[in-house]
Amino acid sequence: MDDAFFEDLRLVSPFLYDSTIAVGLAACNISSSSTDFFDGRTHYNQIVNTQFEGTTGSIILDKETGTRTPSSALFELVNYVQAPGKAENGELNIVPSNSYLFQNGQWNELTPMIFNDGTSDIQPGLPEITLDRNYIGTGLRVAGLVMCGIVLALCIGFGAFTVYHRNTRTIKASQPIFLLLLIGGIFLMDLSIIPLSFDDEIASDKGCSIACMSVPWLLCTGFSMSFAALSSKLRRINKLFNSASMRRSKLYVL
Amino acid sequence: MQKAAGEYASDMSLRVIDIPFDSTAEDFEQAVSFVKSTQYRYIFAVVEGAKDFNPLMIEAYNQGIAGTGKHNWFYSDSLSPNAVPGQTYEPNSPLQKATIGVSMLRAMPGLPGHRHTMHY
Repeated sequence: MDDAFFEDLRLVSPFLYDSTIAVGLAACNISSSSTDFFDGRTHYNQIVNTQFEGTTGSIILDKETGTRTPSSALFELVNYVQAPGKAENGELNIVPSNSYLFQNGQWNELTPMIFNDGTSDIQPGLPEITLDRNYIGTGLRVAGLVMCGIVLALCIGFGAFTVYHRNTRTIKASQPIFLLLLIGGIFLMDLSIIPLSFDDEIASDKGCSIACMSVPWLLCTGFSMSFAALSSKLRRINKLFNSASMRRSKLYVL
Repeated sequence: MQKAAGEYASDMSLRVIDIPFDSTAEDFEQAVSFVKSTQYRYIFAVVEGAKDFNPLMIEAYNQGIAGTGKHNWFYSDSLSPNAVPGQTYEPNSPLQKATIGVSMLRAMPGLPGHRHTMHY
C-alpha cells in the first residue's frame, strides 16, 4: 500500500473520530428522547443540532449546509516552496511551509507566504485595466485642421471676392448680402473644428471644457446664419415667381 | 463555499467549474480554458487525491495561467498532503514552474492555542 495513504489518514483521523462520535451522540439523543426507531432524515437533523467538545475542538455544524462552521475548527494554509539544494538525481524538491493558521475566527501569519513569483507581494486578483482614452491622435488632428484651414481660407477668399466685385452685374444679381451671410455662417461652422480637435492629450481639463462649450456656440450660430441666408433667398425667389402679375417689383433687405 | 464567501468576504466574486471524477486530458483542458477565460488570478481547486494535481498544473502552465508569477493556485485538503512534496521536479520543467508557490488550505486537528501539538 502507498505510504501516502497513512499520511492522509494521520491528518484526517481526528476528524473521522469526531464524525463518528457526532453520529453516535445524535442517535443516542433521539433514542433517549422519543423512540428506538428513526429514519435517516431524523438522524441527520439531530446530527446538525448536536454540539460537543471533540478532539478537534468545539463541534458545531451549520444547519443549512451540514458542514462544520469554520469558526469552530482550525485551518492551516500550507505554502509549497522550493527547497534549497537539489535531490540526489539533480531534480528539485518542493517542501511545505506553514504560512497561516486560522483560529478563534481569524487568520494569523506564521511565516510569510511565498507566491509563484517568489515574493510575498499580493498580486491583484484581475489583470490591470488598460484604459483606452481614444485620443484623436496627431495625424487625424493635423488632417482635420488642414482641411479646416482650407475652408477658412476659401471663405475669406470668396468673401473678399464678393466685396470686391459687389457692384458687378453678376454679383449684384446674386445678392451679395446673402452671399456674405452664407460665407460668414460657413466660416463660423468651420471654426468649430478647431475646438473639436482638442482633447486631454494636448490640453488641460479647463482648456477642454472651454473648447467643448465653444463648439455649440460656433456651430449653431454658423448654421443659423448660413441657413437663414439660404431660406431668405428662397423666400425672395418664391415671392417673385408666385407673383400674380409677374410685374417687376423691388425687394429690399430690411 | 459561496456561503462562506458571502459571510467572510462579501466583495469576493466566485466562478465555479466542474471537473468530472474520472477526468481526462480533455476535461482538464476545458476546465483550465474556462478558468483562463475568467481572467481571475487566484484559483482554488478541489481535486481528488493526488492523481489530478500533475495533469491539472501542467495544463494550466501550457495555457498560461500557472507558473506566470501572476497566477496563484490554492488547493483544498482533498489534495493529498503528499502530492506536492512527495515527488521531485525537473528544474525549469512546466510542472516545477507551476507548482512553486502553490498553497493548500486544510483543516487542522487540535484546539486553539495548542498549535505545536497538532503537527504530526
